[in-house]
Amino acid sequence: MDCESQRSLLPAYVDGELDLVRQVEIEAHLSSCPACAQAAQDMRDAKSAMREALPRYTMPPDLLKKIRATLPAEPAARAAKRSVVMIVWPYLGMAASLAAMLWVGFIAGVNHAQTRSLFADAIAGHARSLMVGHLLDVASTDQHTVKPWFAGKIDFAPPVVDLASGGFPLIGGRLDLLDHHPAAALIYQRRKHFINLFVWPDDAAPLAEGQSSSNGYQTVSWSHGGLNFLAVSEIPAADLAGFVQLYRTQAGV
Amino acid sequence: MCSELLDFTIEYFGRTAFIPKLSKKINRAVNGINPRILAFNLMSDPVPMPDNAPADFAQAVLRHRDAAYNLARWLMHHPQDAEDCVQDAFLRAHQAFARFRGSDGRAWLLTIVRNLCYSRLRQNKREVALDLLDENFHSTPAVRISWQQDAARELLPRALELLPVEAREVLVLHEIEGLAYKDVAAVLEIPLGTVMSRLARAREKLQAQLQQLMQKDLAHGL
Repeated sequence: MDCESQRSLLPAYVDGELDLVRQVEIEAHLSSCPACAQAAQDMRDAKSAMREALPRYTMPPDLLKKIRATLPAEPAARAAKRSVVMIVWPYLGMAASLAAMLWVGFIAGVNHAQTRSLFADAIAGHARSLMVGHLLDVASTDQHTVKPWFAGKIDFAPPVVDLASGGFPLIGGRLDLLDHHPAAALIYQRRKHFINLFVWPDDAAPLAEGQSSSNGYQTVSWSHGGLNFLAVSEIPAADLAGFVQLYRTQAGV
Repeated sequence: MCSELLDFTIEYFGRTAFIPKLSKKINRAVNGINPRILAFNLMSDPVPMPDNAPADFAQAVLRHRDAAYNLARWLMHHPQDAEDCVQDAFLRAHQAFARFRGSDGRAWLLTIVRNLCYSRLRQNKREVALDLLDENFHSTPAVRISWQQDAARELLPRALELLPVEAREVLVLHEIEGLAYKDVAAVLEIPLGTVMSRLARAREKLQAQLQQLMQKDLAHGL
């Protein structure tokens, strides 16, 4: 990867505005290019100096009073016209997400805060992948295409096997973020549904073997050979268990 | 004429809802795939529904008062001018609030503040026209500031004050106010790519300005 093209992305990288794939690419480049790494450090220093040395002015209380006084009274009609549903709607969303988070946390394990946010991340990652059309970074039914695609982007090798003969064709791969760590997501299909299999290094925190369900999603987790595995899908628990069993046999994990 | 322009801006911006469009797309995609995932859709940003503008002006707009004041204060130099602009901005925002259909009250308010500041700056003729920032600006040989020096941090606010307003505003919004590129783009009503190039130029200008101030400072000290 040449410096020129990486340099132009550096500010966006330092500003945290890059997507994960580019971010991982830049990080790989920075670890091998002292000049770019120094440039990135300079940008970070400038940013933190600005954050610390430039004042953010806040509105003087007198001005706020003056503004409140000049604003005509809030027209009550506007609020009154809204149905209860409209008022409650945004809160329903918050309540639902809160409930989902709590539920996921409750299910995933009472002991490990870490594991809890992991499972929530994984389920959110699975849901998000279906929502925004970001299911795949590399679309291929060929394990020999998917595996090398990951090679340049992450520093571990997820075992990629095709399970089409067992009814779970591999359809591609994606980079995702689980609990702030890059993870490989392998996407398998089961009829009309998808399975996200997240794989990432266990970093001395192997995932406990187990399965759970929350909010209509099934998860199966295990750890093997320094890698954590977490399968997420909305297919029935028995089907997901079948998938995991097949994957583990074929991949030898 | 200025006020017509402003009203147009408010109207235009209020109806330009980038996020609602995206959200509709997401909803369509989700509905096509799996209804159960809809529950998760609620986890994303408030889903803009038709007529989903917050009922409460205070909740949607007034709570961004510090952001509004900070921007005006940095754009106007004189605290009194900044106060006038912000006060005017809230009044106009309040009048136009019934038509506001966006989901981002902060960007909407900041756009109004910025437009008012610009028209006042033009009246005062303290700042030159909008095209002051030379699009062909070539980077001066990159200045390298050593940020550990106290002088650098002490003189930084002054350096920012001395920058042309287009450079100043993008830095205020991104570095001080912490707006993401897309939010800066919404406030300044420019494309994302332009935000990135303006930001890059503004950073260079700021460092060059700071360097100059530090050299002057050093000369005085001797």
